[in-house]
Amino acid sequence: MIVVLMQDYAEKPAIIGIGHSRFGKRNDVGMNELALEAIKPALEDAGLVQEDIQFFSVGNFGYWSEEILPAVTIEEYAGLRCGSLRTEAACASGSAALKVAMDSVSSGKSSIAMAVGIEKMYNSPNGTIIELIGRAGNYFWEFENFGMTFPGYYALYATRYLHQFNAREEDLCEAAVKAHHYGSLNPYAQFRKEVTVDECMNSKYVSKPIKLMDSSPITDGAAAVVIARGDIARKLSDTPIFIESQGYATGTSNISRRDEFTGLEASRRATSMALREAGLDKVKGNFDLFEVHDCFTIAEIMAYEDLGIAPKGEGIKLLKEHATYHDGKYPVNPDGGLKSKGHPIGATGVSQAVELTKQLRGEAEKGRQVDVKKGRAIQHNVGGTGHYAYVTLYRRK
Amino acid sequence: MINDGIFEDRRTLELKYRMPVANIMQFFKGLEDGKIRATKCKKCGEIYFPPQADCSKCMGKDMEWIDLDGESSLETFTIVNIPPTSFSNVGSYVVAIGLLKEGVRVLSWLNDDENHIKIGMKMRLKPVKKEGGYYSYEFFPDDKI
Repeated sequence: MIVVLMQDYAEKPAIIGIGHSRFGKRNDVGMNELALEAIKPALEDAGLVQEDIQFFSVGNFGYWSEEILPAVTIEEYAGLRCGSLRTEAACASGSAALKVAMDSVSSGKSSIAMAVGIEKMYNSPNGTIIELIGRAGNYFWEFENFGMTFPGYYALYATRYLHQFNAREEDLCEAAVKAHHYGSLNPYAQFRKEVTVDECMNSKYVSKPIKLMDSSPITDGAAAVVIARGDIARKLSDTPIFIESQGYATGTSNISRRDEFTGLEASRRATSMALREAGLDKVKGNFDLFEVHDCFTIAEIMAYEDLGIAPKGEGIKLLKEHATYHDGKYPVNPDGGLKSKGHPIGATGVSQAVELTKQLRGEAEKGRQVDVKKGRAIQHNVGGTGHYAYVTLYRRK
Repeated sequence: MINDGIFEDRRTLELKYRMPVANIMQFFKGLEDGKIRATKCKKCGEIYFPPQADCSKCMGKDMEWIDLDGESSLETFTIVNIPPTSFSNVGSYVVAIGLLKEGVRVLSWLNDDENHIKIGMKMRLKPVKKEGGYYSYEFFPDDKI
């Protein structure tokens, strides 16, 4: 049995290098310079040089930044010469980049690959950004006549959730309080200050019932991981973090074609797929920590329920009991999450992978390092409003 | 111009799409006649709103047009307080999802006072003539349903 497992892991992709830029309003750098802030440390962490990378993917949504072919400009600027492509899965574009890089390694096409996620949102004015994200629902039927925004979509979920489960806006704000607490401890986070429920409640409505403090910010940022085949990873690293499995699903383009507004069906489908592939029957009891897609406070609560760590309608209870703090039963987003660390669309999926690797290695900053016992972590990355879902399982072994 | 290390783009681009709707023209004609229409697959019976020319379920191309009654109930809503740039002249607006009695859901604006809106309330989906003679469809509260 042990021999079989060893063989399996010899061919599994594993992360052996991580790099992460500071997130925030990064008007001090251009896109290529920002990418290098993640790529260079990732290579150094893996003990490799550019020539060692055999394939390279770039998770990027784009539109608000000027270069149409960022995979090409970044490859050239970083001195890579291995072939690349840009992946788009909305806010899960980073997970899509991970998929392409890990599949390249799993298939045997390359033995060492890299996934980069990057977004340079502040290259356009805020109004343009709000409009471009809003257009990423269904353009013709939901934007053209009705001007949907990204907060607007999640507000449709929040309204229904609060109504159905008799919850209050104050309860949603508890997620913001947790996010900012961990953001304050993360040197790469956009917001590094604590907030209170009152401050959250006093912030302005963006799309009622969602307030400014329920929302993830506009962010520039980059993250990178070096992925190697298991047997090579073991030679190059003392702490390879294996990517055990990945599940993915696509939801409907029109939100009106979904059957429910209190959870994301695509998330649940992607979770089942990832668990099945790893030979697990449920999330509960199998993972040391979670990175979930908290683009809005309501999204974090729905994620608890879609992953199955809380029964339907009881996600808020986990927050109130502090069960999802770093020392609780289900540590969630000890890096501050999208809400406080920031949400550079295409970088988020790779940033989550960086954080989970760091945590499973035991290298997170003081006050936010999770107690790793099982050696397993789970990443939940949603694109759009449940348009895409990627769930990736990591294991230290 | 370079200010604070930012090179301001001297080029601007107007984005205005040309979107083919030839195969669902009945929908737009219907709005002018006071009707909201959906398509129904003659082979498998699936109803589509938004209407579509092909059946995603059985891949059949034989679709018929049906008139939707408009009777609906409110499933969820939001008030868009910060609209996108191209809606900046509209002010805030209510976006709702209604479940129509034919079993399809529709996303649209709801014309009602914020304090009067309640999940489960009855609404009527109706065609509306917008500024410039262009037609859309919106929800209106309907206590008579």
